[in-house]
Amino acid sequence: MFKENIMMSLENIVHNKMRVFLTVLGVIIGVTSVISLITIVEGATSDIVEQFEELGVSQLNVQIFGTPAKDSLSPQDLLDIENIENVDVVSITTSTTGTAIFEEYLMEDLPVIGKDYTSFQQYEDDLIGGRTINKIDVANKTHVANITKEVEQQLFRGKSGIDKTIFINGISFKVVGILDDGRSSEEIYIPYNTVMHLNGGNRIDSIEVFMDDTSKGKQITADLEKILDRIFQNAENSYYIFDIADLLEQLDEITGVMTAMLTGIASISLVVGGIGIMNMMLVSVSERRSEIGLRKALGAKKSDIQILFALEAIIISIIGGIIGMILGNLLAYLAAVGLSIPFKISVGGTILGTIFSITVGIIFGWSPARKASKQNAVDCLRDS
Amino acid sequence: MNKNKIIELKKIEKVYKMGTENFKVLKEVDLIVNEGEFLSVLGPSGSGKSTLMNILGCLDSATTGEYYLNDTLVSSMNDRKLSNIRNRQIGFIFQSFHLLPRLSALKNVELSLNYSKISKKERLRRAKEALDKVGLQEKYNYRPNQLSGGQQQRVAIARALANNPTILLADEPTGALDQETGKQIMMLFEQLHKEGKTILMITHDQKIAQYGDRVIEILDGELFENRGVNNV
Repeated sequence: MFKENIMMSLENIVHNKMRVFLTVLGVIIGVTSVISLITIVEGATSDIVEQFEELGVSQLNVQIFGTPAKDSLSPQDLLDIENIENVDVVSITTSTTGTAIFEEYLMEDLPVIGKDYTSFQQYEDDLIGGRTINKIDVANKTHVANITKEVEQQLFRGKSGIDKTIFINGISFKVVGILDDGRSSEEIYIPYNTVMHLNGGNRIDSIEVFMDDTSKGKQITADLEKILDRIFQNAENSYYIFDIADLLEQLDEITGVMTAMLTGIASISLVVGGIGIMNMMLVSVSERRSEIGLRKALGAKKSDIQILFALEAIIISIIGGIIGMILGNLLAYLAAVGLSIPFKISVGGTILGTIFSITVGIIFGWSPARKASKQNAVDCLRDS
Repeated sequence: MNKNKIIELKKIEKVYKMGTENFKVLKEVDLIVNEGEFLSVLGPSGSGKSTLMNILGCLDSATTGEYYLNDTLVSSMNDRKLSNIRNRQIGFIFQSFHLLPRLSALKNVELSLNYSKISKKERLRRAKEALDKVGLQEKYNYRPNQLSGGQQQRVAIARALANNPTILLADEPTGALDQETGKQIMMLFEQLHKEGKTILMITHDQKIAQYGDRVIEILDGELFENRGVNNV
């Protein structure tokens, strides 16, 4: 019986091709927009998330501004921070600006950034020649430098700078590695404990706190804040903790809201599509009064008639859903290629699209089907 | 004449509300139809004969009175049970055939079997058997618009027969046909009658009514017995 109903519905749909197509267009547009928007947003988000994750979720970056009374961290402070539970190691960044000279070439006001070897390990990926600064360099306070490829270009005029000696503020440093961070920045990196040789100071600009266990990020951040507040005696704006995991969480929230909003907007078109289906089914009911009357005379119960019409509405909206899914993914794919963001078929979007289209069929097919089932058989048979 | 009563109506009344006034379409109708009978109900339009037919066919319910079909009281049944009765016990034949245009003759006949719990194979067998009986063994796969009026009415009769109902209810079965074709359809009814089918036919046509072995006249909602055979 169920199979016969489906066959009957399909035959009716085929017979009214044009009408069904126009009706189903609303659902197609609705599902297409839901799926393409969700897929594009998910793709863009995963792209952004990936970029942030590259920066490292296992570390907290702390900018140290200090107070007039205490402008930096003491070795004891650093030790305290390193002793926080689940903190692996603390890496110091201290920077200055300087003038770099090689032979007759000169660059002024160059940022010179001193870091610990733990941080330098992270520059391995950016290395395009030579080596990064290592543990021994830092331990021995060796005068070695990593320079960005822009600095190499300017100082060495197209020649390799590796193993050449440059002068920073008059002090000699050997270039051991060339970096390309993709940001075209002009920077020189040296071991943090050699920066003081350049300007005599030992101010710590920022520290990177590496975590053993990223899931404990919240607790570590809280402990860190407690210690820093104690160090700077609760002075406002004395430090800033930049937590990538926290940022990712916020990003996730923002995209969640955005997805919900886009879905909401797209579902308006689904509702419009549903109204189209309802309208068509109502027309169908009045066109097929004779059939309704006959079926009742042959022994169809109210529920049989209702199922017959409801099924037709659901099949129509599912057809719209399937076409919408194909178009939506196609559109998302084209957009992904155009915006050069990754494309991945969205499972959530597909499930949502399917549920949406079936629901539209059920909701908007229900009332016409009910109307059909309530038709008086006698009237139906007499009218036609 | 000690035959089984197929239908028994006791003081059946049907009242329609027309605004504030009540309009009595059927007035205290009593009727007995016995097994194997071919009964004609003759009446002009507006006499209440269609209402009578709808009540007999369990498509409509009486306002008051009792209706027994095969000794079962059907006048107080709900939709589900009435659907079942229509499906099992009643074969409808309409003036305008009421065939579904997109289905073949065979599928149209099968339609009445779709609402009973019969296997696909058995449905097909019975549908073919019914079409063979009305002389359409060559036309299984023809659609209604490929058949003549008479052939379409034969498909409809086959559909009414397929479920082997207790009674055939025919409403002006020749109304949409020319005289010659109408005659052939009536001969098919006579043949079915001879085979033992109980038939109740409603018509406004005196000549057609005479095919029945009993004629009852209906006028303004009242029945009048009329030993028709001598009364042409």
